[in-house]
Amino acid sequence: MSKFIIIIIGLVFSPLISSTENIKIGMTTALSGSAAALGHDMKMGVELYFDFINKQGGIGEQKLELIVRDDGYEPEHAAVNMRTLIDADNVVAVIGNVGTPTAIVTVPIAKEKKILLFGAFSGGDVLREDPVSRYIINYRPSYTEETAEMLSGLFKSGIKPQEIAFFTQRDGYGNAGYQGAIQALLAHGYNKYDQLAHGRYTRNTLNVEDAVATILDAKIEPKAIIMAGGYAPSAKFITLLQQDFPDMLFLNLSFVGSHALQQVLPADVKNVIVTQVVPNLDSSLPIVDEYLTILEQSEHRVEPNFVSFEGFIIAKIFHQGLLNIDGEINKESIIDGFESMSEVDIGLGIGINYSQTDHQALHSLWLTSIQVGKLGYFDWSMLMSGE
Amino acid sequence: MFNAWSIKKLLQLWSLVTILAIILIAGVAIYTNEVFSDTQRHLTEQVLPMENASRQISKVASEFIVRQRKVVASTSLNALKLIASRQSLEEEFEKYWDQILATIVSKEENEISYFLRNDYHHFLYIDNQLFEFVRQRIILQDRLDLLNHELRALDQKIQNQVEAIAGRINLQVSRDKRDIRMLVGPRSALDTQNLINKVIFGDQYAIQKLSQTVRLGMLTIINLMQNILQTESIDDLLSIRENDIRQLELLLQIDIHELKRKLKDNPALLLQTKTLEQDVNQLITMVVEGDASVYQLRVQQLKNKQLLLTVQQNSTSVLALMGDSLDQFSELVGEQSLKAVLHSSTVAESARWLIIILGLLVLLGMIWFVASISKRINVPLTELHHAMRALSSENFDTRIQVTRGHNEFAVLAEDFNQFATNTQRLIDDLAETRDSLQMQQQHIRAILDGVPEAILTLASSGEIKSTNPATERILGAESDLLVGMNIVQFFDENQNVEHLLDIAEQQELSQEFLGRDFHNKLFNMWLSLSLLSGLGGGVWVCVISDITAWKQAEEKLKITSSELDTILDNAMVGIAFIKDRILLRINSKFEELFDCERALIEGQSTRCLYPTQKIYDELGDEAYNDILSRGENFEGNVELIRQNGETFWGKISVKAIDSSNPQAGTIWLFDDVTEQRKNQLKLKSLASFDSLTGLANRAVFHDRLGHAIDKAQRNSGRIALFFLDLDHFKNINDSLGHKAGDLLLCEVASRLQDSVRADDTVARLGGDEFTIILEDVTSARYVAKVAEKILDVISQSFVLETTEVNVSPSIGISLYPADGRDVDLLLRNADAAMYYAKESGRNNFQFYSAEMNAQAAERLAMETSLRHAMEQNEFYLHFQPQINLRTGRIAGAEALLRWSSEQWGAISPAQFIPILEDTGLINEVGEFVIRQACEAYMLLKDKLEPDFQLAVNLSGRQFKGGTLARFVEKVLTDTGMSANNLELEITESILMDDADLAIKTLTELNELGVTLAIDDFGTGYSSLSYLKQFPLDVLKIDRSFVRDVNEDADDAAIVDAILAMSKRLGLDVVAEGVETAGQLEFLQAHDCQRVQGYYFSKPLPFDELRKFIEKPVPNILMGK
Repeated sequence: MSKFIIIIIGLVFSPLISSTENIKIGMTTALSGSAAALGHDMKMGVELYFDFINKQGGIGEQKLELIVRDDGYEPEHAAVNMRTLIDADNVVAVIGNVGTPTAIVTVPIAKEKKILLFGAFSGGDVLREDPVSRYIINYRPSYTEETAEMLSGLFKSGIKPQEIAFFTQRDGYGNAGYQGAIQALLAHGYNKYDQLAHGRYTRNTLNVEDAVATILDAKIEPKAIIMAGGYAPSAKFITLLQQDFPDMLFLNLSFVGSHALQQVLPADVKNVIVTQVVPNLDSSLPIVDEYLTILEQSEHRVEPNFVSFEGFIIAKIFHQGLLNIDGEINKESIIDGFESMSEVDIGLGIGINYSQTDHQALHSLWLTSIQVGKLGYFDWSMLMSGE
Repeated sequence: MFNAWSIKKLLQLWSLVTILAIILIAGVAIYTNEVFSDTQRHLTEQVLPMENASRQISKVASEFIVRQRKVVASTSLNALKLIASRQSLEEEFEKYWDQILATIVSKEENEISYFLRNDYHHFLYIDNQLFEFVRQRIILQDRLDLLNHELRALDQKIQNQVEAIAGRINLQVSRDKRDIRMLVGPRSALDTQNLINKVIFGDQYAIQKLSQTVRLGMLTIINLMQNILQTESIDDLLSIRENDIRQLELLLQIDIHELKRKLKDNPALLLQTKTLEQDVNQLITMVVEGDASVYQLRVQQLKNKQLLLTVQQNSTSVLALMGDSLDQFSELVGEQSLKAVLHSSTVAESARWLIIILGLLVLLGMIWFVASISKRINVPLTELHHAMRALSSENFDTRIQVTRGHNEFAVLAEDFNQFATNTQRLIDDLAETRDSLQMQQQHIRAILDGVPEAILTLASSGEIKSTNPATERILGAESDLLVGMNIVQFFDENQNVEHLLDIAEQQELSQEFLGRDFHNKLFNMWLSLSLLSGLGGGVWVCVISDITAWKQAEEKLKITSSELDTILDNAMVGIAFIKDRILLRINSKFEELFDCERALIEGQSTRCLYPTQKIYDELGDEAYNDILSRGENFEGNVELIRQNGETFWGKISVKAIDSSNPQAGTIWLFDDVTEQRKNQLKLKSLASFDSLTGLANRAVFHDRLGHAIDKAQRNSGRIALFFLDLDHFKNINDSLGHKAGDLLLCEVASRLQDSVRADDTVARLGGDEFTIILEDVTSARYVAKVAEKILDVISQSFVLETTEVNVSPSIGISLYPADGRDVDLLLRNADAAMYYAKESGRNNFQFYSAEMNAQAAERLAMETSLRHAMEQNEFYLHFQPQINLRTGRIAGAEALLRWSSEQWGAISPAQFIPILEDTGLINEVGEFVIRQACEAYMLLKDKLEPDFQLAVNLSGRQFKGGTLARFVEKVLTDTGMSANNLELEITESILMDDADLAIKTLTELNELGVTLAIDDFGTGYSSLSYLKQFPLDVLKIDRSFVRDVNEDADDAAIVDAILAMSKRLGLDVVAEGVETAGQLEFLQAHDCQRVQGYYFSKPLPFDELRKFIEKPVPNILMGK
């Protein structure tokens, strides 16, 4: 089977084969391997919105065409895909890539080739340089912001810094999550972070026993674990550790993919908290309605989830960026289009702002938890009442 | 030549020659004209098209080159397929080739075209080769790429597996630690960590280290694979495989084996490790073993590269040859056109001159003819006249010279010559007859004078007429005297010879007569008398020989011969006289031996004595060609056959009658040695094989190993030597009897034999010691596999008659040449490795390593001494008092085994007890200790507290067999000691070894009422679950913790934690090794009940223990 899956959007729905060329947008993501669920959902979310736009006639005479290549969550494949997308497929931008380790290789390529890398599904610092890089634009907050949110919530609930432990993937993503948390701890005035237990595991394996042992060996018994891992190893870790620590709190970065995590966790597992970069699907924001309606009308017969929702949102922001362009759509004009977005309302309840010095849309988070098989709304006060 | 011709014929010849000359002149004129028109045609029809065609062929050739370059540059099969076809080029070539062929006329052209054609076919052939090699190159590269990809995936998998194994072990250990933490409670939470680190170390570290090594090994192999892919030399490849990878393979093998051993109690991880092992093996196989390995592919690739290069060079040189041929061709064509023009002008010139010369020749011929005729008539007439005149003056040898042929004068001369010849021959014949008669007479005289026989001529009356010189010698008188005497006077009177006719009559019967010579001396004579007919008057010739000496010799021979016959026929061996391998003469014993009849067998070939043609031929070769021809006697044993078809072994001894010429006949002695031989064979086999198991014995084993080493040295081969010993075989012999032991050994022997290849040698050195020689060993993996297989088959149950028995082997392995290059060293090292295997927990195998050696030697010596220690009363007990810290009184004593050896002096128990355990002597000695201790207690009983505890150490070996509790009960009954006063100490490892057996025995002992203590607590792999599981009463803190209790906060914490924990578990605690007041104070402060150590007393001989007890109680508690 071919490793590359190429999907051409728009042609199916177009009454006439348009004589004008499509706007080609690239994506390299995990359609196989341990992060495949994330990749599939992200791709589905972006396609969902692009289909919607193409059905209404596209932009001017042009349709949006998404070209997706599978990198299996492995950096070496991501690099190859990125170059193929730019040089052979002639895309004008790359959006919605999944993963920090892959971002570590795709970011330099985007900068070298002077092409927009937008809305990557990662909170890693590699995507958030200071000062900002012209070609890297984000939707979601950084892992530092996510872990800062977790820590402040934990402290509010009475958990001490020394009662915190870490579980991270042994790569760029895990490091990003861990570094983010360390920065947040330092900000809280705690600097003995090297005494905190820190279990790690190898990417694309389920070898989490060592990490569990590390937590078991901790000098001070931890009460909460900040986790930067994939959904499958995270689920195994949680399952193993709950045998010894039934009351442990497991705090996952949004990257884990809440729905995928929920599906692989045993039904009796509780106290699993996931930070989210999209609103809860039961909130009454216009974007939630729009997402659910379009999903229902589409040919995709899948449950709504946070990852495809994020894909949907970045596709919508991308569309707004294109609409902001004066004149021809090309690699440079797209960035100008983005940087001129100010207080654009996409129904998220907060306006989208980009400028030449600010390349990140979102600085706040939503929270969810998995309690005995149910994924639902969560806020820190619930934790305090539970104690 | 014309001299022989008649004059008429000469005239005819003359007219013919003149006509021919005229015809020739006309022919030359016509030919010249033809040549001119040919030249013209040749230029227009051949030269121009030929030039054109050869230019076209050059073009096709360059297209071939372009195509070939593309082929070489191809990197994929698809690209290659696109340019594979060259049919259009070939067709084009053929088309122009046909054009060239059509124009070829000269031999030289034909030759060049033949070479060109050959070169072209050679080129096509090379082109095919080139194409094939490029195709192979691409296929090889594709396969290598694929394999590389697969290997990386497999490597990744292995790395992950190693990580998973290490991870799961860590998790298990961490959970155990946590359990202890929970048990000890939060009171000492900070110190607990230290306790855990020291008390429980288990195998975690070792497993982690092993998995790291395995991981590193895999990385190195992948790295070496890159080297394989990069190196350009086959030698380097071989070196990487043979040195680097094989070595790594061995290390990996050992590491994984060790890993498996460490994980043997964890089925899930063991399974995972086995998968890991398979993957590792698969990876190694993919890298170096097998036809499809990276190594093999790379070798093929390098070969292909070389071949391709050669083919490319060939192709270039063939093309160059073709180019040369084409050039030559065009050159030739040019030359030919020039030649054709030159040729026609030369022809015209020569024709003119030819005509002039012919005219002149006809004129000269006419002049010569007239002169010749006149000369031919005058000369012969003069010659004939001279000849006739010479003949008439009696010169008979006069001849006329005759000219050959049939001319008129020649006929006349021949007739004259015939006449002269006849006359001369008649005169010559007369002279010759006269000479021949004189010669004959001289010959006859010489014969008569020379012969040794007397030859006489006699008259009819018997009177001697003449004699020859021999007659004078035989008859003993001068010829003058003899002539005139009568011949009958020379016969003995008994012969009744009175007249010559009597002699003639008697010689019809016998020609031998008894004669008397001139001096009347008797002699034997042989006589022949005959009448010379045809001379008239009756002349007789008498011939006489003196045969006296010959007669005497004959008589003597007759006697000797009959004596020999008697000896031969009565000889005890078969004797035959043989010449040219034919039986000429045999004796009676021979008849009996071969069951044959003399009459039938004499004159037959000796082939019938041997069962097969082969034996017959070989013996013949050996006997005649090698031995007898050197003039020596031949002796040997050979299989023979009787005439009734029965074969038997004969001892043969052969001697040539004439040692310098064996062809003249030989004397053969045969003896039946069948019985003797049978006995010898039996003796030999008894000496070579172990009579019990039928395996090779020690001598044969030494011999075979020696041969194997020689062979390996020649072929640079490798050998593995296994030294195998059955664990606890003695127990089986002891418990089931020797018969069962023998049955077991036989069964083990047969299983061993089935586990190895037919060529490998399995030997039994004696007892339960076996050795195996594996020859042509290619990898350590193979050796390890065989060892595993043997462990497996021997560990399966044996059914001996009706009892099911389990034994396990310990195997030591040494490798040639790494671990030794001679028989003794290899055997010694395999033995050392076997010892090590026993120490490493039995039922396993170990490869030899150098440090095993020294240890093994010392142990062996000590073992020998220990075997006699018991009977020589070298064992005795010391007792170390234990003090109750609450009462300050002596609360017990630990009995400690001591050995004072005649040879070794006093030996530390740490040194000799493991040997006792290994040899099984511990059972006997252990029972001795218990009995002695109990008897000692009974002697002191009256002076002791009622709850006094006498502690005796138990060895794990004593648990085996399950009779320990019964023995203890018996000793208690025998001595009358109460079970409450006996404390048995066991180590943690006993509990770990065979938990089921340990539980059973401890429960039985517990039921007897004996106190059970766990010794050296904290030094083994302790698991709290075990502590809970076994019926234990006392826990002894190891001296290593007590030692630093005042200096080291960690140790203090540990002792504290153990005390706290035992309290919870309801165990009493004894602290060992108390040496200072500080230690005592600490223990008192932490509520320790009992202590022992040098602070109170060292271990004491029985008498001193008695004094220690009788001393007033030292009030240690008050003292502080």
